[in-house]
Amino acid sequence: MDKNHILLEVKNLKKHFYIKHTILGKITKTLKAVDDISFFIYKGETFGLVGESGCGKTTCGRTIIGLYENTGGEVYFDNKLISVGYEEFKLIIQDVKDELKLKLKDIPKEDTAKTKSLKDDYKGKIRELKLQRKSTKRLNKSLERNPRDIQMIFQDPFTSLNPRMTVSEIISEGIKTHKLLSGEAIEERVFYLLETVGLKREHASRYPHEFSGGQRQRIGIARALAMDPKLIICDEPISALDVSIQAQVVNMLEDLQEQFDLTYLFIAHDLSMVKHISDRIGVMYLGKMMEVASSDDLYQNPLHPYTQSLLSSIPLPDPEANKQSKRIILKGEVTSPINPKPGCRFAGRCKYAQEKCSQVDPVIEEIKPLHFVACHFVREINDLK
Amino acid sequence: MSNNILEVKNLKTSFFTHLGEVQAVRGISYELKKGGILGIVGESGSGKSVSSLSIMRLVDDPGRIVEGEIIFDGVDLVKLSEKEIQDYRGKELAMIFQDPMTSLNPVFTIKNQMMEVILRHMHITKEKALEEVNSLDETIKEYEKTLKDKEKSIDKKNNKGKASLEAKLTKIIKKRDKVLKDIENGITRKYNKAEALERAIHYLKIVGIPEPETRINEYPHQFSGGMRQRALVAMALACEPKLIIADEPTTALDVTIQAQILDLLKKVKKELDTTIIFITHDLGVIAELCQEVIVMYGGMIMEKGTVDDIFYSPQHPYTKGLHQSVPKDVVGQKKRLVPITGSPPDLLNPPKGCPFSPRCKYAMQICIEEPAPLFKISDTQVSSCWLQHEYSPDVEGFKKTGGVNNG
Amino acid sequence: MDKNKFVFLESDQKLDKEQTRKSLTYWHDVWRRLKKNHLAIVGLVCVIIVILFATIGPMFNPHKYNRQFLDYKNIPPQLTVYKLGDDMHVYLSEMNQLILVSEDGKLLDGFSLAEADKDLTAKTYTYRLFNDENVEIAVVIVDFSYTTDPLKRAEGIRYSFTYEDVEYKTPMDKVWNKTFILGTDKNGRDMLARLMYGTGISLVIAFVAAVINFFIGVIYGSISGFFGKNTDIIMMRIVDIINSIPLLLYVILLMVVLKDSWFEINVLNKLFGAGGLGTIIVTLISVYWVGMARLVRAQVLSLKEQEYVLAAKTMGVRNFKIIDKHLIPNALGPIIVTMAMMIPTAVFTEAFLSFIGLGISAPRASLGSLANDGASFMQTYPYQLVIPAVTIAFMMLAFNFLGDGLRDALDPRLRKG
Repeated sequence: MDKNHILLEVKNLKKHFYIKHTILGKITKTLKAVDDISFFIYKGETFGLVGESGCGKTTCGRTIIGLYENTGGEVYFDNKLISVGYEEFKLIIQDVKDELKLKLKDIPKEDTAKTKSLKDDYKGKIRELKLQRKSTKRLNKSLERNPRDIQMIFQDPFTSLNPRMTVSEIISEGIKTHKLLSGEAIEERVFYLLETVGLKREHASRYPHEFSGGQRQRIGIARALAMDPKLIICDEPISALDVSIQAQVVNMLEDLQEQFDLTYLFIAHDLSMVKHISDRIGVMYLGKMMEVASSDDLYQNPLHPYTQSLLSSIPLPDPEANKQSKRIILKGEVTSPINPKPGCRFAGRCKYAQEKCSQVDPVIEEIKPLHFVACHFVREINDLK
Repeated sequence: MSNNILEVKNLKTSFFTHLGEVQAVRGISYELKKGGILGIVGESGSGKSVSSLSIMRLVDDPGRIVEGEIIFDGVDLVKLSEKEIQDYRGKELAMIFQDPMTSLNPVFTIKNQMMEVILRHMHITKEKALEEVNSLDETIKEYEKTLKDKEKSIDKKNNKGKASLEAKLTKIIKKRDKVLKDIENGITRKYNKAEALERAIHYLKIVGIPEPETRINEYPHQFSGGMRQRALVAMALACEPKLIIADEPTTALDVTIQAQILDLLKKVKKELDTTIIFITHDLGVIAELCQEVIVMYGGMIMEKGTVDDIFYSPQHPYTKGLHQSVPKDVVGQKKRLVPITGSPPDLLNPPKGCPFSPRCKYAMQICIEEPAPLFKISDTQVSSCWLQHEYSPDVEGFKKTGGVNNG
Repeated sequence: MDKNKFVFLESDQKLDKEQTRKSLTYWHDVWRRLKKNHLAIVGLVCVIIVILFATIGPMFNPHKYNRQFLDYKNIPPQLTVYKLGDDMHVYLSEMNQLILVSEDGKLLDGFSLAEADKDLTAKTYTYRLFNDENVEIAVVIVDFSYTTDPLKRAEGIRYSFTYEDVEYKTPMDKVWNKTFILGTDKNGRDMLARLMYGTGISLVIAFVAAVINFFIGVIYGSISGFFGKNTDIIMMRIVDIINSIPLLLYVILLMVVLKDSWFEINVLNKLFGAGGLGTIIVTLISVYWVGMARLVRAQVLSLKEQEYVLAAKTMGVRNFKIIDKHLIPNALGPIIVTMAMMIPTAVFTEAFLSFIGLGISAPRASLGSLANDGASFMQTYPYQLVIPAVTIAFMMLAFNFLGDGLRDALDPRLRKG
């Protein structure tokens, strides 16, 4: 891990899905899958992203790699801006218009002068926002991203490989698309990659359905490696595998990281595995980043109430330890990320919640060196100064 | 009779596909005492789910129970007809499935689905039946009294309803006699709708569903994942079955919800004293919940023992391998995991000997020729590994025994 | 117990370390499931029979579909033969043509009947048979008065033959027509030849329409499904509009508009020959591509969320390559099923159009136009309607059985692990 070199930096990343709008285009339902999260990954490290289903961790990974266009925020790769979102201006402009309508209601109709000045005021504002949107959009269009830099390993080994293509076709697809190699060199490269991930040359001509889950996941890893990426986003790569196979894949990922000097963004819900493989971990809840810390720090000393209960919920493979550990069993369930209420997303289930929590969004701040927490009362809860 | 609620003897279940016979369960035997939670742990294809579906007799075509006995409460379930087993399912045996969405019917309300089971299976208790007899007796007395009054009275007008009253009286007496006779034979009447509803609500309350009186009228999709799983648990409990089989009930849930459900199952076990078979692939859940554990691999039992046996002194290389595959919660220096090489056996053409032998570090000639019997390690623990045989070389961490456990 | 067996094995001595499942490929699996479905196999065999019948059948049939035998009009497949004298066999057709036949049912020659030989008062016709040198070799008098004369009516026959002064009242036998196995039509054309030709035309129409539909539907549907958003909305609204017009009305209108138009004469007739074949194909295509496009779109919509498509996107594979390599090959199953089901529908629509007189025009024939021709003589010559009708029914059943079987075999929802 190179602490002087930040490979990926995400600033205020947002991914909203506008799932319902009126005929006139006014957005009435917004699914805020990823809502304003920021983090960075050092070169050569493994950054774990954990959270329960529906917390937006997969969406976050897909937005970074460009499968989804980000609604707002910036993504920097190797200090170079690769993506900037402009869609959020739509919602901002809409909000401004709503605000104007509200204000107009308060003013009596006779007061035309005041109405006019207010309208003009807002018109200028909206025009400015529209201009901003245009320029951001132009900026985003002008940005270049090299698809070889970031690659992805997918969750389901059964749907991540095209059943109609041979293993060799699957692995070489990227090489052929970018014309990295030609002719026999492609074949050699495929063989080399297959052997790197622990498969045999003979496997190249077979179809995916002839392999077991673990072997398929290896093929998926070989496909990602074929592009010589710098960063690999691992989207729950082991959650569909058997326990005895999980360890094989995790060990291989560690070996490959050393061999090819890779950086991982490791997305998972299995906290113990994430803890094992990651150097630093980010905990997400309903589209928000709750806590970011080094994995040891996070496990020994979780500061956010959500992280605390999440960690205590994991049953350990050790009966004695289970008896001793105190479970913090959360009440209720994850609420919907559609049109979320203002304030801390966790407030409804948090036992420390106070009035402020359901009114003001907490900002993520550095409580200790490299330990970031988004909670209003983090100091009070943990007796910190 | 022993106090074993369930005895599985040499159970073999296969699926006959176009490719050949897939031997999902290959001769497993175990017994289960009343009360307590038995955990069955294994990977996909280890036969853990099929073995429990066999107990419920829910193995569908092309699958079939090939051999073996499943003695439940003194009755061999394998020999029962389809109709007879239906009286057991839901009543004596209940099952909780992995996916709470697909195991509830989306077009019926929770109320419909819970009441259906209760109305089908539940009979009122003897005490309650006797109570009802008593109340019948009282009405009979009342009738007799009015009848006497009428006979006494001279007024002929009052005598008019005498015949119908007498008929009513004989009817009630007949009814009472029948109920009394049924009680003697151990039969009581089934629940009526009001009682069933009351019972359903009662159990929804037990599993922690808020406002069960109103929520019972909702459809499954109106419940969240965790709530659905709770409702399923309530449904399974509603007829007070002697055995509940839970097939990976928490796998589809998030950790925080899983913690809630595990907590619930513990509470249920403590309060209602039900026997539970809990199937999972997660060693952590096993350690948290179970008292006894069976480790399955390739359709066979590898090791069986108490939780402490399995977690603190595992005697089978597979169990050891599983423990090493899971990261232990140690802080500081990263310790490398020790994976089990290779992949699980193809049950279409399983290894002749020990199913684990192709992946086993300690594989011997005998291992690939013959599956090991269950060697007795201690009073509570048995393990199916040739390393326990007296002839085998000494390996650190593995005990040896002379005797073979046949029971 | 052998003590020697308790020795650790080297890693290469262990049985198959890494197993790879050798299993059937997708198409093998489809074929296996299709084979299990007996009805589908029957359908497949019948389809092959129909295709062979239409393609190589005409080679074995001596008559051409447009050749007219004016002596033998409306001859049914089964003849009521009278034996006159020692060795002469005749058949009197419903059109009162007397034909000399062989004993086993071959048509040899027609008798001629001059106007002067018709005795309308006595109701007797005198038929004369001439040989090649125009020499009269036989004279047969047919007495039709049995239906009108009250004295003769009791005998219950319609006519009698008098040959060499002997009257023959009872037929010798009913024999099958050996010259025209399925008889002839009103113009004396061989029904079998016309049936083969008509089946062929119907098949050509159905197959060409299905194949062109396949291409239009797949391209349209995959573009609409893959690019989504406004592209999808506009393309699907067009489909909706076409879909909202009643199909048959639309087809009939199109046929009427296209008939004898510039387009038909200069483009279609040059491609497919005269007789309206091209017009029918164009009409069928313009209607049925909609269903295919919808199906492909639905397939693409679900497939494009598959992780292997996402993987291809992250590698920067171009959109059309993704459609071509990842989406269409995986949607092929349902597409083939739809195509297979489209063929009988097209056959039927074509038959219907021809039946109402909008389809193929003479001398070309399709099953529908054959049925149409036959329908006008339904009372007198029922075989002319029954034969094409049965053929249509047979084809429909065969294609539908095959299509159902294919759907079961290809449908991924029924496919297990």
